[in-house]
Amino acid sequence: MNNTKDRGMWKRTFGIYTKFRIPWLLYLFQTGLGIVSTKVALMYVPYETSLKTGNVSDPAIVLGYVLFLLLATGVQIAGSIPSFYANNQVSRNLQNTMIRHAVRLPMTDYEESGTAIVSWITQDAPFASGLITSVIGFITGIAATIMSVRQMGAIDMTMVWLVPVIVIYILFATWLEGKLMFLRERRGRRASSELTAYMAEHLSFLVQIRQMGTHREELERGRAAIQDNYKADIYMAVLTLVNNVFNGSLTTVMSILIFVLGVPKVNDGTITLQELAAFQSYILIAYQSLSSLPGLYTSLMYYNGQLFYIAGLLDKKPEVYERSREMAEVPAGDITFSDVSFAYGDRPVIENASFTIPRGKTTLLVGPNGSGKSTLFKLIERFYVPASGKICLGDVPAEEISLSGWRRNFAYVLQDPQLFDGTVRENIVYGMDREVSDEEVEKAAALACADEFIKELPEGYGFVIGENGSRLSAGQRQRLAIARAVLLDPPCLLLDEATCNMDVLSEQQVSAALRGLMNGRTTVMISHDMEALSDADHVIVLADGRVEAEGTREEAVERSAMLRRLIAASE
Amino acid sequence: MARQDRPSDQLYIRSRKGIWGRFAKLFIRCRLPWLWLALYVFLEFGTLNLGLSETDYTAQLFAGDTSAGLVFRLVAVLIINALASHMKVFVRELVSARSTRSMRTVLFDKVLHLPMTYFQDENPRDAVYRIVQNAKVIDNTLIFFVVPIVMALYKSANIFVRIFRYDWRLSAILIAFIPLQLLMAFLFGRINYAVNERETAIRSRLTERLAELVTNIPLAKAFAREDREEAVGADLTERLYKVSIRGSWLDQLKDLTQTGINLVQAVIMVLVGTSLLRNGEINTRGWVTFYLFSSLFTGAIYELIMYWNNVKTIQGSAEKVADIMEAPSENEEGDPCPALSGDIVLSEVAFSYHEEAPVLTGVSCTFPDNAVTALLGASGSGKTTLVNLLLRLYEPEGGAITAGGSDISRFALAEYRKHFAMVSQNAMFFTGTVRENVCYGQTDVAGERLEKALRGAGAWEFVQALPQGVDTELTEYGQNLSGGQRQRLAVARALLSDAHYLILDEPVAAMDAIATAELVEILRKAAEGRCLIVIAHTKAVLPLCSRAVILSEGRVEAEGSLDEVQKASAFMQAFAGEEAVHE
Repeated sequence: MNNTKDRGMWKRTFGIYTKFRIPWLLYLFQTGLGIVSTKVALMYVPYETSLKTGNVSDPAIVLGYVLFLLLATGVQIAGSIPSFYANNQVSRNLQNTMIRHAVRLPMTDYEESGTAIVSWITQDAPFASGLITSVIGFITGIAATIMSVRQMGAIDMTMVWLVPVIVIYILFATWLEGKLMFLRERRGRRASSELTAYMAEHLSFLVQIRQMGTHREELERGRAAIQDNYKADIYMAVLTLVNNVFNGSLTTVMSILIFVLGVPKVNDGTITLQELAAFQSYILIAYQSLSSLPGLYTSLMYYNGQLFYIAGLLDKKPEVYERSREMAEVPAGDITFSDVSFAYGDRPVIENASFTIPRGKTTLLVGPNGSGKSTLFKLIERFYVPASGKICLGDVPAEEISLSGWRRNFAYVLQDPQLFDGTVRENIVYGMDREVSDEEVEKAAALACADEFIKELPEGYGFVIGENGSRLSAGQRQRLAIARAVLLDPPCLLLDEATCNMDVLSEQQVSAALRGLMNGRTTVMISHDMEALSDADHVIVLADGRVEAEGTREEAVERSAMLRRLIAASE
Repeated sequence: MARQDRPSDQLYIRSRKGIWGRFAKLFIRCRLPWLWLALYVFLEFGTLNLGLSETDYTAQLFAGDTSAGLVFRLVAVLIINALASHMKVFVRELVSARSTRSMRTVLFDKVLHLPMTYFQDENPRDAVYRIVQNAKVIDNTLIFFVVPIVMALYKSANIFVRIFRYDWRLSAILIAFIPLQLLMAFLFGRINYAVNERETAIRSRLTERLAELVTNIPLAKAFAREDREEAVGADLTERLYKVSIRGSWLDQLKDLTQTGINLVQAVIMVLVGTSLLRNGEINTRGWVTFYLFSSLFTGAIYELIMYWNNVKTIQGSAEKVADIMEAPSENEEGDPCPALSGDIVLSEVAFSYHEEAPVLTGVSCTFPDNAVTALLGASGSGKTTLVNLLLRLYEPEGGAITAGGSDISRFALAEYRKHFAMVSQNAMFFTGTVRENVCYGQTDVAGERLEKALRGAGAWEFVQALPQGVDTELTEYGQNLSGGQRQRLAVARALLSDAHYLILDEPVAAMDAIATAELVEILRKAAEGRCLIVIAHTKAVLPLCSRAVILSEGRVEAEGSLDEVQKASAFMQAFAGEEAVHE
């Protein structure tokens, strides 16, 4: 059971590598250079040992030494070039795939993950190359081991039995290290989080400690918490000591074995001193490559964790944009909701809502906080898919109409206008899929009562407005969003508390801008301001996710107790 | 808030100059495990020398001495060195743990004694990080800076002396390359720093824009601009890619230069050395030893450079710790005050957190003994400040406060504060049992006394109903109790403390009418023979009070019996008339 779950997880993680382009050629090149690099290092050994043993009578040896030193350095440096190109490409390609996927996710998925997606894209994605690097390291490690063992065999077969012993020992030592490090990490993390929690809890009461004059008690308790942490440190130090004894002594043991076993062989003339030195170098190279091999498993585990969320993101189904009908083919008409329900998880928000948004008229959506008004907007925009019921444009079910076309049909002005850190112009033309002339932009701004303040900005239309338009006032931001809607010129408008939280002057300016925009368009607005009633041709009253009343102003007031209460409360 | 009068700011400016002096002070303040440190340094020197002998013996071996005696010595040195190295690491961790413990204790003690003015602009919780993480500065300095630098210096000097004995010409070549190595390390350090700084800036700007793009996805969907965002994203990742590639090339250049220097050095040495050997000017053993040691020497020089680079990181956390350590503590000295009772009298008390915005401007009033006085006033009128002055969390800038006729500033701080107990909505509750929480600040509380206090606070019944009674564990901040239950435990704690002065800050907040009536009854009993000050936000506790002091914009608007005050103060009329005063 557990096993199959694990396997599913692995499959999911590795599945991401099929979803973007991987620069295999560069990685192949990197692997090749890795093997060449070991080969050169092994060929360099005889020259090095000649120097090490003082055997320099032949100038060819010195020359060979210098050449191979140059070659080894060259190959090593050359090897890292394809590697950093490949790794950065993997990270870039994966990021692009993730962005492409993320912008097309259904709104519900997006809201669920929220800003965590940012860190998956910016921080987790660069980890993806690590897994490939680990696999390459494993392959070159095996190659290096085989090559160095063959070199050792060429010198003296009788000492090659050391290699399997080393392999077994390394397996044991790695297993032990894994165990010890796990215990160590667990204790260390717990101790440090306990101390942090203790300090956070008690220091947040510093004023109260003052008031009660209990410094001494606090110091005692704090000392105890610090002492606990100290004990954990000591525990960790002991584990490290044990680990070092087993894992850090192998090179020493190997050197000892080589000297003890090898020197007698030198003395009886089986091998030369130079060969002994070479043997030592080979066995060190073999040891290094061997001890890197079990690392593959650890890094597989590690990257499985790092890439977990990326795999989750890429597994989610994107929205289907293409539908059987283009927006242009659908005749204009009223938008009707019939028995539409929607829930966030198991919390129902909209229940069996049926109403009509008449074409070319202004519809007001009223209701207390939490009655589901903004959710209705998202259903109208088709950000959310109804759990049941039907939304139609004229006679055509909305789900048959192309998603992009549908959304382009609406302009959305929110209480908090959605602006991005760019110039005024960039923000206004956002949404247009063609080049827009300066004249058009200025005309739109003028209609939105925005051209005056824009011209007074330091760089006019080139003024960079800061994150979320932070360098503009609320009224200015709203008029910019309206200018965007004007330029877009959609048949339908959705206004969500567009004049909320504004001072009187800004509100007047924004209202004037909005009236120009609403003229002749299908408009749906949410407002807490009961004065908006006078602008409305059609009113829908929402209470607890249900439509309480619908009709003209008079009809709605007559039918809805809620509306009458809201009107009374605002007077 | 203005930051000009914050003590740590001044310290911060000073810190730019004398970081080394501040370092030294930290070392003196924190009790170092000198004995263990000495053992550690001894082991460092020991392993270093063993390592050198190891190289020496290996050189002898490879130079042709294959006697059993040499092999025996070499093996012995190898074994001892390995064991000593493991011990060294262990002792190092021990030194580290001990000095961290010591630094943390000293820091925690210090934070507890900092005056409240220190925390005006900084949340005390921010000190947590300093205590938990920055406290490691001492052992970081020792382990990653002082000791390694000394060791690296010793090592390079030692090796140099050894090789100089064999041949001065070869040694001269080694020495000649040091300035070049240092120069390259310095140059690349500078270039790297500048380039890194720029690249990091570009990188973080791009990352920010990428983040903005992702946060703006709803906008993109609303305007059906998914394609545009995808293109912008691709553009950003492409630029990030180019920046990273540029950074990697720079690293390559650095590596290339560094290996280049080493290569040139090695080649020159090998050429010179081998020709000397062939001419018979040095013997084989001399050459072999020299060959093995020269790489150790270069390594030691690089270690020196590397450890020196650690200084920046260490400086950062040392400054943060030093900021706290050097801030002046509360003055705790003063006359003993075993007993304190009598009226509290304020005369012309003035106080401001910042010069431009005075909070109290000449407050004169009396909180009589054996009475319950309500302290009322609009939000921002200075009620909390007044209580803070009574508790001596701050010192008045003008005027005087007396208790029982004595100026309160003359008493020893901790003793003085023991005569006060505070009940407020944000009373301190921590992870621990009910008993520990209620008896907090007391020693050896008998079960009967605890029961009496709990009964007195109307908390006995619900505490008995808890799974383990008074030994039930409270979770963090006492979150497993309701607000009303915590309030009663706070009252019990106040009753248990036997403090003469009780200050109640809105004691019936979030309680229904029945619970309020019960608590008022409890407090009425507790008030007997004590002096109570009740900060009230609603009129619910007024039945408890016999007198009232009304604060308005830092002055006393009215003072006297409830009836008198009702006549004199417009605020009081509104307060008593309405259900609640909106803050």
